[in-house]
Amino acid sequence: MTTTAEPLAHRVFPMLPLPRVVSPDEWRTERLRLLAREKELTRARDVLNEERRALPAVLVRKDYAFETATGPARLIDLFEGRRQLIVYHFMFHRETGEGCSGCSHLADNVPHLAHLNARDTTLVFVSRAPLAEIEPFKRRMGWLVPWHSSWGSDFNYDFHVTLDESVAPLEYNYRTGPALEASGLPPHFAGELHGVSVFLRDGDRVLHTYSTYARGPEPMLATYAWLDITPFGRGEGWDGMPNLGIPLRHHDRYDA
Amino acid sequence: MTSIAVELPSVATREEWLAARLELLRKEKEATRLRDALSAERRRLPMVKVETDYRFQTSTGEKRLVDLFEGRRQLVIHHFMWIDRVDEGCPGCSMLVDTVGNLAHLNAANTTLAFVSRAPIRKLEAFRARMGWSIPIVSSAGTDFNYDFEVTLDPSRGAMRYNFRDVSDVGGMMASYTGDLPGVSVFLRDDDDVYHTYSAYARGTEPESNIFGFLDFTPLGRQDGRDVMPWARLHDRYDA
Repeated sequence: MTTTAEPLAHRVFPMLPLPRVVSPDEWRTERLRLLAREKELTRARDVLNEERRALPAVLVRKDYAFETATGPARLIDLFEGRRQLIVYHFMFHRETGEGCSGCSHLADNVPHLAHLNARDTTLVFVSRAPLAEIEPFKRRMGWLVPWHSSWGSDFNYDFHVTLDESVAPLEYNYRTGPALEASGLPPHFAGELHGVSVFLRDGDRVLHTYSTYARGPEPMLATYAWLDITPFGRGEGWDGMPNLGIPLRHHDRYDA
Repeated sequence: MTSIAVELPSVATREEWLAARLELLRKEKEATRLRDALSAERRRLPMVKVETDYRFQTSTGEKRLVDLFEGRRQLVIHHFMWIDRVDEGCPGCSMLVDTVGNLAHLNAANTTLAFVSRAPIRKLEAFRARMGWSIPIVSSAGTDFNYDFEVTLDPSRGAMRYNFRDVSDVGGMMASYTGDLPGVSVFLRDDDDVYHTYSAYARGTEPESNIFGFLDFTPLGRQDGRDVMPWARLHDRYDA
């Protein structure tokens, strides 16, 4: 017997429950009910954005050293002359020589940088791994965003994306102690976690304005925004969505 | 680059900042839960069978709606606006195309993303070449597609409705507007049958444009005052 391997994305999922079929008028009635709730969420998002802009900022006093494709750099150099810097704390696994698949998913969602740059904003990735280990993976994945190394500096520990209790008490997503353990992190966890930190430049001063972790960076993931409006959703099997059985992989590994 | 005069955040101690950040975090988590709840409600929406046999023009010939799925079960169509006055794609929609990265993850979730525009395929292809996009834009020229899904207003082509409202009820500029407006529509395929599950318009399409997702984390935000995206330009026009 021969079988033809079907591309993963074309697999049929016969067991998926389909939405019920209704008339256009019935659909419209239900859609309008949801629309009212969607507008609530849009307004809630606007309020959050306002509050985020109203956050105070903390002066960065430490002179962090980074290794970049163009040589050694300080935090202020990463702005490339712009006013705002968004750092995505990219988890790099030295043992496999690869970035984490979730962070790689985010990297696959990075937009054409012209629009961010035009808003005086530079986006970079920073990983706690030597640059020589990062660059082959970056080339393999075809990403263009600047990706710097914080290897040897306190940067990742200070912004709570590398945890190691021999360096600092464990903290992630603003949680410590029992609250951190309750979040599902194994006791004595040591290693990389993901996050986003935002900095503002005022002359030669650098201010830290914001950091977010765990599900906080999700609004950057256009993939999820597209999937969230579909009947199967993210296909991850939680919250009533079907489980498509396809965990996140590196983009060149789905057909493996 | 337009430099915007801004008030800098007040400089605080780490403890003061942390207190404010924790308060915001609590509200952010509420919003995440609300987003999840709405996504779950969206998945429970019923759907409507698409009975019209739309014929689209593509760079590889004529295609039906079911063909645009490329074999997958779900199809998300962004209705790409064409601006007749300048005869090019809308800057906001173009910015959205610029957010399209590697589609492997979306495709692995059995979902195809497509852009559909009312402009003729010849113009769409020239514009796509200029912008350097690999994702195709499909032409719905000559079909009722844009009018049926209420993303093109033209009094000679039927009901004037946008974002589920009659434009005469909206009033203002909308009452006399003709042309394209932003929207997204989602379809599900069951063998050869196609069902319409969802459409969103206006700011309902914002979450997909992750430029906002990035800028919303920054102290200067979207930098658009009261208007939505007055600054958005085609990516080859920022230095003009």
